[in-house]
Amino acid sequence: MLVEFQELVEQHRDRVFTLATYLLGDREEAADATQEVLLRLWRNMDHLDGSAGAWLTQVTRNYCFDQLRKRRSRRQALGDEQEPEVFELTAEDGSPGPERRAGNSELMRHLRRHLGELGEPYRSVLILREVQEMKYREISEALEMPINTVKVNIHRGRKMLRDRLREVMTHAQAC
Amino acid sequence: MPRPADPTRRRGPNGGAEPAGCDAVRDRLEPFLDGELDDQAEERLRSHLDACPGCREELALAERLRTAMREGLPALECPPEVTENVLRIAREEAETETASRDRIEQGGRPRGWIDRLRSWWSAPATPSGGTVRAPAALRWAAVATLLALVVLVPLAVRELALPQPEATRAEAPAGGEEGPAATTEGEYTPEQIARAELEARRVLATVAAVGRDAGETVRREVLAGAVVRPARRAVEGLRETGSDRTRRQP
Repeated sequence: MLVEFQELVEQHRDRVFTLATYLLGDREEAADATQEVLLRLWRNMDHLDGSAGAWLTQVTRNYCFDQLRKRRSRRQALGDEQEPEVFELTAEDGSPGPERRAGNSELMRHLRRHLGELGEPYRSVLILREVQEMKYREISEALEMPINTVKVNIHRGRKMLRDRLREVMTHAQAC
Repeated sequence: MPRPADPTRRRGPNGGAEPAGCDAVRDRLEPFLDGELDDQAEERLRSHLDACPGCREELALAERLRTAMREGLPALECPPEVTENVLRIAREEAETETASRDRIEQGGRPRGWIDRLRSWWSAPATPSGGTVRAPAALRWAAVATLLALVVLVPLAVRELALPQPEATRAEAPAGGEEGPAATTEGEYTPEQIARAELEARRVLATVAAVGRDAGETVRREVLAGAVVRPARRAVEGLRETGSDRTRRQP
């Protein structure tokens, strides 16, 4: 079983980490979340019903939402409710992360900010579709959502982003 | 004389008039780009786009957004230390469980919970050393809870030791005759009862306050992780000794 688990870890660790990073907006918290989620996979391997990928997506989302709730409670307790959940995907040593390779433009920063501000389930479906390139059927299974609802939510999420980024994209095009 | 405004047309984002139906077309741009429209719907949309610069611009924005998402939202690589930690912990737990099962099959006592407790005690911290999962703090919280219970429970028992009931005079018999004074044994006065109850509440509140959070930690980390789950696995192992276990593939 250990060998099987190791194969699952190698197959899914990047996806789990990517999803956690985009939901939490923080690499260190995402690393903690990834470790916790993978250990839960190890301790529940005998009870999995369905694909490990879908299970991991669900558990990662649920764990990250719990962490976000705790984070909001801490901020409210400190009276700091206005801190935006924006992230820049910098590396651990503070140097620019992948966004530098992708072109660290104003549009990208606005894109990540507005994605972080999107409500659920739009944010999750867009991350799974646009970042992780999951198929509709995989997203449907992971989120326990009918396929047509997945499609509608993806389309609505993109339209919301488009509406919010219209001015920035138009300006970027003009420059 | 200028023509009256066509009510079926509305102002677009650039101030120009747009044909009616642009809202419906723009709602379909995403499925159009995903290739999900049927042939007729796609043909109608393309016809509209040919005639509507506003919607053509909207389509360009949608395409630009997709490109931006592909470039600005890259897939990330999991830090190697996360994988190392996870596999090490899994290996330790697997070895502990195997050793426990072997002992049971050989007629030995199930010491799995001790080994599991030992394994839990030596669990490494998270890669960032953050407080999301801090075994060291949890371990010491569990120790503090146990110590508090060991120390406070005897104190509580002593506190709750009630004084001997005071003798109470029985009521004088009816008819006015004065009989000898009588006492009822084993009865406590209302004041004694109220005092004892107050003391008990105080002690219990103290114990609860000390042990609440740490107790939850003990329950979750020690009992569930180190006792309940290993015990369940040991029982399942006993049941399945000598038979093949059927696995369900993830």
